[in-house]
Amino acid sequence: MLEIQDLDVFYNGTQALYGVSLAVRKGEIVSILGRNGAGKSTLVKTIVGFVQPKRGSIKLDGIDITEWPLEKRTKGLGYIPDNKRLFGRLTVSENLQISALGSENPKACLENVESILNYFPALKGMLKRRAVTLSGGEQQMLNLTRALSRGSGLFLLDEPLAGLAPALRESLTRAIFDLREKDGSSFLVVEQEITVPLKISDRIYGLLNGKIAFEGTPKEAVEKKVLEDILMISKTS
Amino acid sequence: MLSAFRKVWATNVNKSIIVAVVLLGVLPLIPYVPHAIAIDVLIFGLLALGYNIVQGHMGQVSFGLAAFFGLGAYFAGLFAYHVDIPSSAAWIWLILSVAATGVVAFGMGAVVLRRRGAYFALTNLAFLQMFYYIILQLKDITGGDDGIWGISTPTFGAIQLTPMSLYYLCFVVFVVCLLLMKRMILDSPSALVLHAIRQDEARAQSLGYNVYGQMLKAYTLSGVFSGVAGAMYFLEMQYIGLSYLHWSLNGEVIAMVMLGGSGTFIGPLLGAAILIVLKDVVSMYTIHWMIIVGVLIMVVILRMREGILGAFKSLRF
Repeated sequence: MLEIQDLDVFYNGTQALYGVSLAVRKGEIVSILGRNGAGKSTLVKTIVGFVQPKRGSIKLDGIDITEWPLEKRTKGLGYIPDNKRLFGRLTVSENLQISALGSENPKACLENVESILNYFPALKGMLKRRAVTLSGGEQQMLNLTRALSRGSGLFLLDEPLAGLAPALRESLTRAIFDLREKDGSSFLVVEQEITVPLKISDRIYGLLNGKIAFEGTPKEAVEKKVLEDILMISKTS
Repeated sequence: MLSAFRKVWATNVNKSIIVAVVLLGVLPLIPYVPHAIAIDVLIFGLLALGYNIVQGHMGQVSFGLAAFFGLGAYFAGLFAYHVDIPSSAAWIWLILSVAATGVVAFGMGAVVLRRRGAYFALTNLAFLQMFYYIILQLKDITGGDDGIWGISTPTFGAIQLTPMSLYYLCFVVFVVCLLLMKRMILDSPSALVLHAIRQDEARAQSLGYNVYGQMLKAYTLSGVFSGVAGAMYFLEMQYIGLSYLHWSLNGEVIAMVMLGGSGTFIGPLLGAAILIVLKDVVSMYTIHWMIIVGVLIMVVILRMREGILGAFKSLRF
């Protein structure tokens, strides 16, 4: 589904990624874990197209998209940025409409919205509210609904758990598994928090100082005790 | 979910448009309202509405809007002066003038939309100054500094262009433009996209939108409507001159937009009407009318930041 080879990325003049290679196969849930400044968001932004790599390639379904403009890449992607970035002055409904209109199949996307809202039913009563009036958690729910309804084969979720209460984390997990089962969707989840990624991922990459420091299953990551180094977690936790 | 974009608000906007059209329809019939003032309200109202596509809907300030107004007037005037137009083809002349302005707007937009903010504003100004000096230099064709006076305007079939018939001709053109503008900028999915782009361009792009393409479309439309206003102004004045392309016109139109409310659809029209009437009334009493009008504008803008119509939430975007 997604294949990244030897990516070197510079961000604001500083090298942020060094020869990063990874893959997400169809129907896989892959997480990238790393502490602040490891390069996780830079990696996602490079895949989406906000940042151009200096070297390396990005392939989606075998097609090299490295030189594609941002709007062409994201037509077929469900992307959740790390800082929500909703259109605050538009209502919840309008935010969902605008996301659908920009997708490859707006009609199907709008139909998907109804089913995705079942995972976040609290949003159903807020459709006419301006997005800027929502709380942080509500905004994240809207962000998730917006992205997950795109009907894409591949979803890039940059810190999707931020601001979500435990019950909503469960809802997100269910949504991810259901979409994978129903459509064979693939997920690339970037997170600092480890509990949910360890629970849901088929494979994990650990990113440390812009380099892939680990690749394997969650079980292997725990057995090899690599997460303490990658996330700078205290060895006693 | 597929329901119309803000039904309740759209209804209030429709109401405001109907009120504006009815008032403009009877304006020249009101005693003591000079026809010249009434026509200027139409013309500069259309110019302000056209410009607000860039400022209000796109969220960018331009110091080059006078370019399209001036070019619309010049194309119309030069066609009428240099080409023998049969009266049956007068509408074609108007359309050609506006189309020519649209082509210029498209070309200009392709360049200026590579930048935002102050750079966008000033690049527009640079183009305006360029057109000003080109027209100045092409004296044999444009009359240069002197302009060209007394150009016979084409007749429109059996219509004799008296002040009243001229007003209603411009009124019909105005209403057509207003409805087209509403359809293209307010009622279409493009309206939602434009407002999203105004709030967060990068995010709109990450949702799959060609931001540059969308903005170029809106910018060109703004130029076309401004060009129509310019062509109508030529019809009124039967004169073309460099004052149509003077940079000071930018300030007046921006003031009209902010007075009426850049965040509303019909606000700029109200702002144009107020400014034109103010100028006319105050200038009857003092030669220092510019100072007084300037102070009045400042007071309104400082006390009513959203503009006069912007004070009504239901009329805002």
